[in-house]
Amino acid sequence: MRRLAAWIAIALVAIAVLADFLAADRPLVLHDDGATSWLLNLHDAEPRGDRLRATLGPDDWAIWPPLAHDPVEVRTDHELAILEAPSRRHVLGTDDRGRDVAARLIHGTRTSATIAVATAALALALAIVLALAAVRFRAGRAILVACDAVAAAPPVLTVIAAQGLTGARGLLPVILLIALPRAADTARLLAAELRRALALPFTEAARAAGASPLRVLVRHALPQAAPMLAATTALTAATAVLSEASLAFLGAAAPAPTPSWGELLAQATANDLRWWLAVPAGLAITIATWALLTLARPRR
Amino acid sequence: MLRWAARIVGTAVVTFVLAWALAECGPGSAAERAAGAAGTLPPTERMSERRTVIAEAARVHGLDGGAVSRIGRATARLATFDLGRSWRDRRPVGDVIGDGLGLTARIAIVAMVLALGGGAVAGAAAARTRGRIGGGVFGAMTAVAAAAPVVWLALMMVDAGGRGELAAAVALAIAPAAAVAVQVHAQLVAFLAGPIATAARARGCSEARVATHGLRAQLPALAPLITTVGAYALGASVVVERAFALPGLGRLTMDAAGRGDAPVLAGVAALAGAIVATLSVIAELVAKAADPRLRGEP
Repeated sequence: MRRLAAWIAIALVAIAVLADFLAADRPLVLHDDGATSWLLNLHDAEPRGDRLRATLGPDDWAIWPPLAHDPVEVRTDHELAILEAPSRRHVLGTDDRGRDVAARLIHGTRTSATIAVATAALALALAIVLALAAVRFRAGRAILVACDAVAAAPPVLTVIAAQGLTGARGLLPVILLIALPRAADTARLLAAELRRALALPFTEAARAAGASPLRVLVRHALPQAAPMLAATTALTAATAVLSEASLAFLGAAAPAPTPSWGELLAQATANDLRWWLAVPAGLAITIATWALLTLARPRR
Repeated sequence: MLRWAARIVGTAVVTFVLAWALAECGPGSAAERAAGAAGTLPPTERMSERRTVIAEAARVHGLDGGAVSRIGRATARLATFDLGRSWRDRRPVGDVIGDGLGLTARIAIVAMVLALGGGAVAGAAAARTRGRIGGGVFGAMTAVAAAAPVVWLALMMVDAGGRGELAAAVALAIAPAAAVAVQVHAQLVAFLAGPIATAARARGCSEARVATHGLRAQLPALAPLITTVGAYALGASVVVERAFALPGLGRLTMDAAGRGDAPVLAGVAALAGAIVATLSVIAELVAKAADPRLRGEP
């Protein structure tokens, strides 16, 4: 199960990184007027989509990405297909602006992965700093008491309230506010783990050998907590994916045209819960969260 | 007793102050935004009218002076349980929150009972039937239930015809119930294979009774889940109330956030802080009641 979960996590990150080559309306390779251009997705090449198809002569050819649709802009010569059920042309149908749902799903992976990775990294870094300070300094107890209080803060409610209070939008505050309670929770666990490690004979040996207190903490005690930190970081990433889904559903995450899994769920609510809007996005969130939660479970 | 009260009040006051400090980071003066939230602010061309409206809003909501003095006065008013007035319609914030609190409290309490009770029963039942198939089904169901986003569960339930508060409570309860069930299951399996269970069986205890011993022994470890589940239910109520179209605390928070109604949001923040702190006090008391060894700790 852990292996499957790890592969799913890797696959999702790969999809996020390669989204531009998996779903785009620019060809990967284009042979036009005797000249071959490679990886057009790296440039802002025009024309694209149906307009490009129309200009191709008999000797020209193009290799298109598996999904030849842009997740945000619809460039088509056909009539705009709005809320169309899945078909040959649109594997998972279209949304209420005629955009391809499968393309939005793939590029939504990028939004979720960005938020998950950024939140996990930030929470991990913060937690390590907080826990080291809590163990090292006399005022450490106050840090842990504050962590206890912050750790229980519900992230979605906090983000909504903070956005309403400051009027600020954007992903950075969202990432910060999801990361803070998770950092506080991780810091408490890490501080306990560090204390346990400091009582072990080998850290005493390091002290006896003349290592400074900070060195003992960072070089000898901290590595002891690595498995625990890996698990809590996976849990943070899962929390971030779930929170992003909730926030995007409420329209409080990434701004409007950005594709995201939660945004597809919001569209489903606004459009009689069409299944091709609700089911794939929900499954994507469930699978991603399942993989991260499985990785977060302690090894037997 | 005093310590617990101090913790609850302290958390509420700190979240209240933090909320107002965030509100001071917003664009424009507080009085300007207060008038804006009411929707009565004339456009910038009619400057003198605009100034009058802003001055009036500043007078009604007590928004004169600097940021620190504003936050200080708002916090001082909190001591008399006065949360100020909504910037939107000038109703007392206590009344505004009171409108939605009942519904959300009902949903959250039912969800907590379902999650803690249902999760514990499911976990215990799975621990008693130690079949391969049963264990696999239990593992798969809890894994999916814990991973499925509450938004999606709620939408699927609405699609299947789920309406009203009970359906909302069930949607809220599913993910935490799975977490509780997994924890109860793991610990109970370990307990049933341990020496205490063997001793109890040797003295003629029925399997059900042995399991009851096991559940009681787990209470201190399960107590923190009260806080986790409660905070989750509170946070997810925003989403669930939107999906089920219910007018509760989550809905009024969304409305207030949409308008930048700072007094209501600060009130919600203080209330949420107080609720979460109360839950953690309750969790601590339950743990201490279940395990006398914890009572000695300061």
